[in-house]
Amino acid sequence: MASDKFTYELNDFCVMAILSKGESYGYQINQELLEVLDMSESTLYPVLRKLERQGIVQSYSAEHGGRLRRYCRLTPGGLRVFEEAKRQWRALKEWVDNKLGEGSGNEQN
Amino acid sequence: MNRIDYMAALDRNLMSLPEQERRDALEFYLNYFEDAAESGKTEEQVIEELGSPAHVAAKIMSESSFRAKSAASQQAFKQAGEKKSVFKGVQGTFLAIGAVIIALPGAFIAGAVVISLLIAAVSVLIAVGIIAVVVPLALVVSAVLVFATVPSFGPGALGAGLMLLGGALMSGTLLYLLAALLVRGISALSTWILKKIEDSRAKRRAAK
Repeated sequence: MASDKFTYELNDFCVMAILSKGESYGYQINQELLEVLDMSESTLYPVLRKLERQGIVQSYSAEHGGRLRRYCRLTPGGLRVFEEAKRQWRALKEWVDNKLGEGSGNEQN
Repeated sequence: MNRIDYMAALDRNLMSLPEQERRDALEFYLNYFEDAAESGKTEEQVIEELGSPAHVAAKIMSESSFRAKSAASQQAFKQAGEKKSVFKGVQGTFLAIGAVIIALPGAFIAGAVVISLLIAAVSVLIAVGIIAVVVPLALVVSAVLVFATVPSFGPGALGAGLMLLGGALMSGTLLYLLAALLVRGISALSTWILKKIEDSRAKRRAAK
């Protein structure tokens, strides 16, 4: 069921976007999120948990500097979900750009 | 507050989570502290970044499924006093059932099952309640009447009636507790079904 409406939570979408560039781990993902989102009301861990339960993200432990670190990556299915989300995002972005463009156009008139 | 205090507070606040889920969460935050330290952050900075343990724990609990929810509602049940939370439970049940029905046409069956369970349970409870209270009460009343007309018969009948009434009050209390449990169980069940539907929807999307 394809929809042009943006049906994802922004947190979920941004995490998928980060992981679409390759595997990552909690701290690193959060640092990237903090560049664009205010994470004070939400927290990363439950977002990752949910995406994992939904089969979008997969996590595994790997050795790092003498300890175990938990890495996350998108599953093949998760990648397809992200493709769909990306399509929706582009439609939303186009709509917002359009609105912003109209707004400044009206001011000039 | 340092890292050890933070982890201990988080651990305490996640007590009602299933063991494995709690361990996974704690591992994540321990990892976070370690990675942050590697990149040169102080523990204070990390704690600032993460937010208070109570807040983080609340977020984790609200994401975690069924078991944590029912544990939380059990706690609320104890705190709020029974009457109020039975009412809340009933309200919650109907809200959850409504949400299940709205969520998906496919959920109609699940919704219907839960509703019929609820209706069946409530009608059985009402029926048993009526029998348990009305019958002994009638006996007492009739015993009093008999006592008035045939004095030699009265005392025995009155005693029997009072005994039955006592029994009825006791079983009434038990019924009330049973009803509370039932409502809570069905409420938890419908919440769980809702969660499953949401998950399987997302899973289907991921799998297609």
